[in-house]
Amino acid sequence: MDKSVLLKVNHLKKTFVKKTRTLLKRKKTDVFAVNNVNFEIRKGEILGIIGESGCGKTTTARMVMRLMKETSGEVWFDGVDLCKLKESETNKIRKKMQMIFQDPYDTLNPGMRVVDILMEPLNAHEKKLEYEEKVKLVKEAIESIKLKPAEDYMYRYPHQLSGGQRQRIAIARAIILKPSFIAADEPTSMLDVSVRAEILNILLELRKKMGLTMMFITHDLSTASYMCDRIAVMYQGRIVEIGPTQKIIHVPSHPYTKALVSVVKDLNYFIKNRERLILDGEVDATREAVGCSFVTRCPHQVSVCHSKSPKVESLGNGHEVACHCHADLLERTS
Amino acid sequence: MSTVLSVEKLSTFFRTDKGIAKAVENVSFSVDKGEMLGLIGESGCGKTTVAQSILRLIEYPGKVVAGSVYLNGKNLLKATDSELTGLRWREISVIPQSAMNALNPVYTVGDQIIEAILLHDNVNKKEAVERTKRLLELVGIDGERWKSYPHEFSGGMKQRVAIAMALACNPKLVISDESTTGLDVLTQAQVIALIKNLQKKMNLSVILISHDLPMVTSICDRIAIMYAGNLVEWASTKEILNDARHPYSKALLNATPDLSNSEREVISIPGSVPSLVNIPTCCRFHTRCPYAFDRCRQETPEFMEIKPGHYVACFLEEEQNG
Repeated sequence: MDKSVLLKVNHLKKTFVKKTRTLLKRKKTDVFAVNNVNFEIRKGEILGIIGESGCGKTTTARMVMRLMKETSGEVWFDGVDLCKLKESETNKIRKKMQMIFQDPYDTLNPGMRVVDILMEPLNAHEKKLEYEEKVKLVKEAIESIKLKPAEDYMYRYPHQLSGGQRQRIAIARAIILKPSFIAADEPTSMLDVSVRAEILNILLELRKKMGLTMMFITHDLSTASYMCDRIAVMYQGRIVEIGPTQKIIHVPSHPYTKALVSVVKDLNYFIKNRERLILDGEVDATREAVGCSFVTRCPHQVSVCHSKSPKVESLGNGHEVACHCHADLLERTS
Repeated sequence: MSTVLSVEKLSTFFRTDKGIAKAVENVSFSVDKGEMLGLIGESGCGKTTVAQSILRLIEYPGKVVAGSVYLNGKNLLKATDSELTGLRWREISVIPQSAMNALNPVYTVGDQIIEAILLHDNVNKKEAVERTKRLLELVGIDGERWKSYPHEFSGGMKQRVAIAMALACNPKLVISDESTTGLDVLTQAQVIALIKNLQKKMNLSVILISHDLPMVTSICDRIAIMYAGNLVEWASTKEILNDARHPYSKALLNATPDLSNSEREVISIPGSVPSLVNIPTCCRFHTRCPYAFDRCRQETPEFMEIKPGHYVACFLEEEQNG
C-alpha cells in the first residue's frame, strides 16, 4: 500500500434489514445504507463527505471508526485491516482515531465536569500516567481549543457552557490522545453561524499544528469547500463523485453534484443571478439495487441508467464520477 | 408601493423568575405589497417572538408591552378577539417552523385544510373540498391525495402541505417561520422556489424568518437583521451585501463561508449573546463589538435612516455624520 495513504476503504457495504409485518405475513427487506464505497485519505488531508440525510455518510464514518460492524468490505488504517482485528486490538487502534459527533448537547455527560470528561480517554488509554500529568494534558487540550485560561472551564458542568464551547470541549476530548485521524460528523450543523466559523477555524488550525488527517462529514457544500482538500459526494449509499474541491465545485460531472452546486447557498447568488437546477422526486432507500441509484430524480437519464449501475470512471487528477452520461453532459455544457 | 404591514417600536417582554427578559425591544419595520422581507438572526434573538407578537399569539408570562402593529391600517394589537379571528388566515397566515409537528397525525391533511376554510370563509363543504384540491395542486401535490394522512407524506411534501394550508383563505401576508430548516438541501431549494413562485403569482407579501443568511439573500427583496432582541439593520438585500453598516451585520457576512471564494477566511464573532434578563441600557452588541466605545455601554443607539431605505442602529454612524 502507498505509504502516503492513511486510510483506505475498499468495497465497504452495510445492509440493514427492515422488518414489516402485516396480519398474516412477515416480510424482510434489505436497505442498502452503504453500498460499495471506495475511497482513500492521504496523510494530512481533509476529505469531505457530503450528501443529504439518509445517504449513508454517518454509517460510513461509524464503520470506519469501528462503532458499527460492516456487512462486507475492508477498512485499511495505517497498513492494518481494521475489519479483521479482534476487540482488544481495535481498542488499541482507537487511540489513533477519534470522532467528533454532531450534537454537542447529547455527547457530553451532563453529570460530569469538563475535567472528568477529558480525563476519561486518558484513563482508558494512558493508564500509567500520574494524576498531575493527566491534569496537565487536560489543560493543554483545553487551551489548544482556545478556551483560556483553562482553569475557568475545567470545573464547569456542560450546562454551564454555550453550544460552541461544548463543541470545543468535544473536540478537545477527541484530540487529547493526540490521534492521527479524526472523523468529524457534522460538527457545526447544530451551531449558529457566528460560532460555526470558530469551530471550523479551530479544526483547520489543529490540522496544521498536529498534522491531523480528517474525514469531514457535512451536508453543506460551502462549509465543505472551506474545509476540505477533496470532496466525495454520496447519494443513496454510493459515492457518485469524488475529486479535488475546486473540481467538484467548478466542473461537477454527476447530475446530482450539479444540482447540489446549483442550489448551494451562496452569498453572491443574488448578484450573479445564477439559474438553479431543482430536482423533482423523492429518495427511496429500499429500492432494489438495479441500475443507477439516482435514476428516479435524474433529469438526463437514458435507458441504460435503469438496467445497469454505472461504473466509476476517472476524469484525471483524482476526479472520479459514477454516471453513464457524464461525457455527453460535458459536451452539452461546453 | 403600498405598505401592508408596519411594525412600530414593538416591545415584548417575558416575566421570568430572575427578572424581566426583554426578548424584543423597540423593533420597527414594514412590509410592502408583493415584497419578500427576510428577518434573520441567531437562535434566541427574538425572530419568532416578533412573529408571534404580530399574530397576537404571545401568552403569559410574555406580554407585548409597547408599540403598534398596523395591518392595512388596522392596529392588530388593539383588535378584539372576534376581529382577530376574521383577520387570521384571511389577511395574515403562518407557515410553521416544522410541518411534521404542525400537522395533526390523526386527521387527513385534507380535513385539516377544509377545517380552516370552513371556519374562516363562508363556503359549503363541497366548495371547500374543491378548493383544497386546487391548493394541493398549486404546491405540486396530486389533488386526490387530500385523503392522505400526514405520515404518508415525506418531509418536503408535508412542508408543502403546510404552505398550501397557509394559502387556504387567500391571505395578503404570509409569515414563514424557519419553514425550511431541517429539510435536505435539495428539498429546501424546492420549497424555497415554491414560496417564491407563489409569492410572485399571487402578489403576496412574505416575511421569511430564517437564520440562514445565504438563503435569505438569494430570494428576499429586503433584509432585517436582529441581534439579542433588537433590530440592528434593515435595508435592501443589495445594500446589505455591498454596504452593511452595523458591525454585527458585517461580522455575520464574514462568518459565512462563500462557495465562489473559498480562499476567503471565515471569521467568527468572539464571545456569546448576552442574557436578555434584566439587560441594562446599552448597545446589546457592545460585548462582542470590536469598535465599541464608552457611549455603547451606556446608551441604546437609535434605529435611524442613514440613506433612503437603509436603517441602522449604531453610534458609529451617528459619530460619522456628526
